[in-house]
Order: sequence, then C-alpha cells, then structure tokens
Amino acid sequence: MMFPFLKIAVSNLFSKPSTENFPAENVEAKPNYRGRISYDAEKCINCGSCIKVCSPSAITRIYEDVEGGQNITYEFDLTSCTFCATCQDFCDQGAIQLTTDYHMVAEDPKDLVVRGTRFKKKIPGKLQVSDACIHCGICAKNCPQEAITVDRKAKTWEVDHSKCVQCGKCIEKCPKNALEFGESGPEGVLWDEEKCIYCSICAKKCPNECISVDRKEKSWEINRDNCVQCGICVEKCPKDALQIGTLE
Amino acid sequence: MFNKLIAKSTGKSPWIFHVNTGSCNGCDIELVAALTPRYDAERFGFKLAGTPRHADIVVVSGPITSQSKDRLIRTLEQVPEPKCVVTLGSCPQSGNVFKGSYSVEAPLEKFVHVDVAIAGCTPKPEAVIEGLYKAAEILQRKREAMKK
Amino acid sequence: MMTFLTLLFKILVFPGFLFVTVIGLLLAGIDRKVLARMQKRVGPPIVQPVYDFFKLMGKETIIPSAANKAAFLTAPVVGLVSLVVLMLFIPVFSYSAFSGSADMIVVLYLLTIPGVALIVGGSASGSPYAGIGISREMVAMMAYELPLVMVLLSVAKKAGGDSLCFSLQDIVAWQAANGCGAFHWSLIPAALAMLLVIPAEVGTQPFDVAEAETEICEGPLIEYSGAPLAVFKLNTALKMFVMTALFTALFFGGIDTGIVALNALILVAICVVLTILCMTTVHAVTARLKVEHLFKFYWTTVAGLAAASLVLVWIGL
Repeated sequence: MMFPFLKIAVSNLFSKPSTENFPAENVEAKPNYRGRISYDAEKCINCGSCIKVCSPSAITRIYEDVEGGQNITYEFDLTSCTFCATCQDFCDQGAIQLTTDYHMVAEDPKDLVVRGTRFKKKIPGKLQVSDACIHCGICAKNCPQEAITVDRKAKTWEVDHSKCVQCGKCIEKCPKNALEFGESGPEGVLWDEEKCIYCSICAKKCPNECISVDRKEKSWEINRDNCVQCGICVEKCPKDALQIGTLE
Repeated sequence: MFNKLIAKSTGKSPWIFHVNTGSCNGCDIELVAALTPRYDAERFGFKLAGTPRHADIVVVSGPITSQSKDRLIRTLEQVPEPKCVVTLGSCPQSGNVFKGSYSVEAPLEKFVHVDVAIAGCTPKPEAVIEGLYKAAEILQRKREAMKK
Repeated sequence: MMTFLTLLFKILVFPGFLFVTVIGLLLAGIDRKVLARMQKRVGPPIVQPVYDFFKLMGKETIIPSAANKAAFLTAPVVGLVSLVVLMLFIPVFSYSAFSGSADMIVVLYLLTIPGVALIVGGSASGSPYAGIGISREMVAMMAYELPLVMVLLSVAKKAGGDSLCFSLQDIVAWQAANGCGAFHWSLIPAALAMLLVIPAEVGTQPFDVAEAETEICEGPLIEYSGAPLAVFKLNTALKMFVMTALFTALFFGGIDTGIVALNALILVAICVVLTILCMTTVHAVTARLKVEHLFKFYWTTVAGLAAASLVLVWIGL
C-alpha cells in the first residue's frame, strides 16, 4: 500500500500552518478586485447608461422635485448586483467605481444599498428687463459673454440669447434690480441648423438613442420624450451646434 | 448554571448544512473553500453536517427555483431550534440575473426569515467566514433567549 | 457503607464515568487538532468536543413519526452505559476496579454493544438511509471482530503458559514480571493487528463506512438531533479512550510506579500517543475504504497478522 502523503503530513506537523489570520487581522483583496460599488453623484451626468447595461437591473433612478430643481438619486442594490463592472466600463464620467471592499455582510438587506443624490438646478428662463431700467450700461460692461447691448441715447436694451449663459452677473450688478430670469420652460437640446454638418456623432453617442441624423437628406431630429438632457451630445459635437436650454 | 455553558457552546460550535437551490455553484465552491487550510473556518468550530437534523446554520445558495422550493421549505423545517438561515450571494436575495423568470422564486425572505445576508457574486471566502461568524453570534443570542 | 461509597466512587469518578468522559473528550479534541496541523491549518481548539457536546444538549430533540420512540431514545444510553462498565474492567496498570477470572470475555462482549446500539438506533429511525448505514455497520463489525478475538486469544495464551489466562489483572501482573507484551517478538504481529482494529472500532476514517458519512447523509445517525445525538458523539469519543486503554493493558501493562495517580497520567500519555499514531495519521493520509475492501482488508491482512501471532504463541515461542 502506498502512502504518498505520509511524509508531507508528518512534516506539516512541525511547520507553521498556512492559515491567514482573518478576522483578527484585516486582509486586503488584490487590486482590481470588483467589490463594493462607490458612486460619486457629483460626477454623474444622469445619462442612464448604467441602468441600460445592468443585466440584473440592480440600478434604479428616483426623481424628486424640490424647490429650484430636482433631486436625482441613483440606488445600487448590492443584493442584486453581479459585480460585472459593466456600469463602470460604460460610465464616461467615472462616477461609478468598484472598490476592493469585500465586506458586504448585513443582517438587514436594506444596509446593502449604495446611493447618491445630485441636485439638478433648473435652467432659468430667458433674461428680461423691467421698466425700472435706467439704461446705465453697467450690465453690458460686466457681461463676460458681451451678450448685452445698451444704448443710453436711444434708451434701448438688447440681449443676444444665444450668447447668454445665464451666469447671473448682470442681475447682481444692476443698481435698479431691473433684470431677472423669466419663467423656465421645458428644457431640451437646442440645435443650431447653421453650424450643423450632419456628421451624426451626436446620434451615435446618445445613450438613449434619441437623435436621428440623415446625411443625405440633411435632416436632424430628436425624440424629446426620451431625452434626459445628459449633455453628452453637446460635449461631443465637433461644431458646437448643440446646447441645453429652454425650449421655445 | 448549565444554561450559560450551553449558550456559550452554541456560539462556539455551529454546524453548517448547505442547500443549493439551483445555484451556478460559484457560491458553493467559495463556501467549501472557506474550509480549506488557507481560510480555515474550522478554527471557529464550523463543520459541514451531512443531514439537516444535525445542523445549526442553514446556508442557502441559488435563486429558489420552483422545483426546489417545496423541498427547501421541508428541509428548513427539519432543522431543530435554535437555527439561523444565511443567504449566500445575491441569488437568494433577489434572483440576480434570473429576476422575473417563470421558474425562479427568489427572494428567500418570502418563505423564511433570513438572519444574515452575505452579498457578492461570488463573495470572497473571507466574507463567507465573516457572515458565518455573525450567524454564530446570532445563534448564541437565540439560544440565550430560548431558555429565558 | 464504606465499600458502597468506594464502589460509587469507582463507578462514577475513577476509573468510571467522569474519568472516561474527560479523557475521552480530550483524546477526541487532540485527534482533531493534530489532524488539522497535519493538513497545515490551525484547527479547532482542543476543548472543541466539549463545546459540541453541550451545544447538542441544548438543541431541540425531534423524533420522526416513523420512528420507534423507545428504541430511538434508549439506544445511545445503552451504548454509553456499556462503555463506562467496560472501562471498569480494564486495569489502569496495577489498579483495577473490578476483576475476575474471565473479564476478557466480558470485555469482548461489552465491546460489541456500542456497535449494536448504533445499529438498533439506526433501524429505529425509520429512514432508508439509516438502513443502508446499519447494514454497512454490521459488515464492519463482522470484519473487525475476527482479528480482535485472535489478538485477545494470543495474549491470553502467552500470559497463561499452558492454559489460557482470561483475567486482565493477571495479564498485567504477568507483564510486570516478564516484561511488557510488546517486547515479546511473537506478540508484535498481534500488536500491529490491534493497532489496525482500533480505528475500525472507533469508526474513524478510513474505516468509517458506517457512521459519519456524507454519502448516505450520516447513516444510522441521520434522524438524531439534540441530546441523543450528543450521547452518540460522546460514545465515539469514549471508545477512543477505551480501545487505547485496552491496548495499553494488553501490550504495555508492565509499567507500574506504585502511585495510582501517576499510573493514570502515564496511561493518558500512552493513549494520546497511540491515538495520534493509529487514528490521526491514518486519517490524514488515506481516503475512505469501500465496504467490500474493508471486509477484505480485515479478513486477509489484519487477520493474517493476528493469526501469525496466534500460531507463534501456540507453538511455544
């Protein structure tokens, strides 16, 4: 009868056991281990790509209307997550990272949810002037985009809405408090027909596939219902032909 | 006098029975790996029992398939008190990628109260040991509450 | 009155219930710890079997509806009682609680009772897995009883000279006069055979075909839970001590320091060494034997060793 392990067994008796001293000392997982999700709400642009690619549907998005805007909360349910890191791969902004933390044990499954909230300010309406204006021209001097033109003699006040970025400096500087932003209307993507070259990069990059571009027909269409105003098309357009603003 | 000794011993010698209700076997491999020399769960007294009648902690893995649901409930009823139910991985908690399927009946909370949830797909053996350790503490508390 | 009290002391404390229980649980713990170290891991603390016993005492006892309640509950207790009585007959070197002229025969019969208790308990469970388990236990018992009887006969013949000496006390006295049994070369095959019989009696791997087996969901013990299971696990631990003490009495019985306490300590030390040698080492390096291989092994190799010793002793060497 052969006993091949006898020598090993006896020599193991006199050597140190190879057990890691786990709960007493913490053991780190190796780098690139896909553990607990960490979500940075500040980097998130609410494109929703992660929700689309998550195969166990572990990510939910909750909208909550508050004064001045909306609270957008993303919840990552770790009891449903399969830790594939596809959401991390698809997030351009780097808002989702899978850390090396593997200590995910809880008595109540509600403790195993990672969430983050971002406050999205509503885009204010168009800049408008009231009758209190004395045409002093301070607003025009302080506008960083030089969007305002004031003529003291002709007593006119004009603003070029395409240049205005709604920074609010003119409202601060006006001595008569004559300036304010109007009612904010529905937001969406505004398309500048003159600048557009129909390259269709915006259509390819849109995570919800809202944009359809036809190069031959030279047409550009957007499905406003699916658009979440994430801003990826605005960023990727090579001709700056798109911007997010109040729709007419 | 013996009650204190028995309660202390209950926390120091928890025997595990493992039920696989349709799992992909990833979590099962990590559970058995926790008993290998590198992670050695046996230092805390954990031992795999062969029958549910000998077990204290029942570890369930796998989304509860319709075919295994009745058998699982019957097995859980055979475990003597005090007992703890531990879910291993994300399948028994929510069905993971099998959610919404016609033959999957996760979450386990619908059928029996789950004491400890170990999340991960699959959890690392160290996380498994952490979860089982917590379950052993809960078991000791249950035993102390039983005899009051 | 005094004799009654000393009798009670012998039965309950030394070498009766308390002594056997404590040392048996210690041996079981040492077995598990040394096994773990051989497998290069830390292992449970040595008092782990004590924790196991008390935990099982605190669990709920569930009796299946198909079970025979009386046999189910009394089987483990019968096994425990027979093991405690057995220890009373085995001499701790020069000190023996009960002795008679034929106590080796009593020991032989008492040794079968724990196995039969397991069989009765298993068949009273009413489970088919238990049925498979008890048939395997019966085969295992038949397998190791033959070499055991031949070993006992050879030692009896050696100690008795012309006639057979069945009294364990007398065998120990003969060894004190003529040197320990293990130093007579004709008894060495018998000692080896006994070392191989011990793991099968106790039911530890690689011969645990009947008991705690994951193939048939723990065999005869499948429906047990709570206090009866605790007693069965205690029986296994006690058997370790009883078998190694019997081996010591038969083959190392000549040592005597005169003080009973010191004798007991030396007995415990020898039992620890024997446990590690014949139970833990074999457990660590082998896999479980199938039932037919076990039968063949015991009736050819081990019985051959014992028969060799028997023949050598009978022709006068």
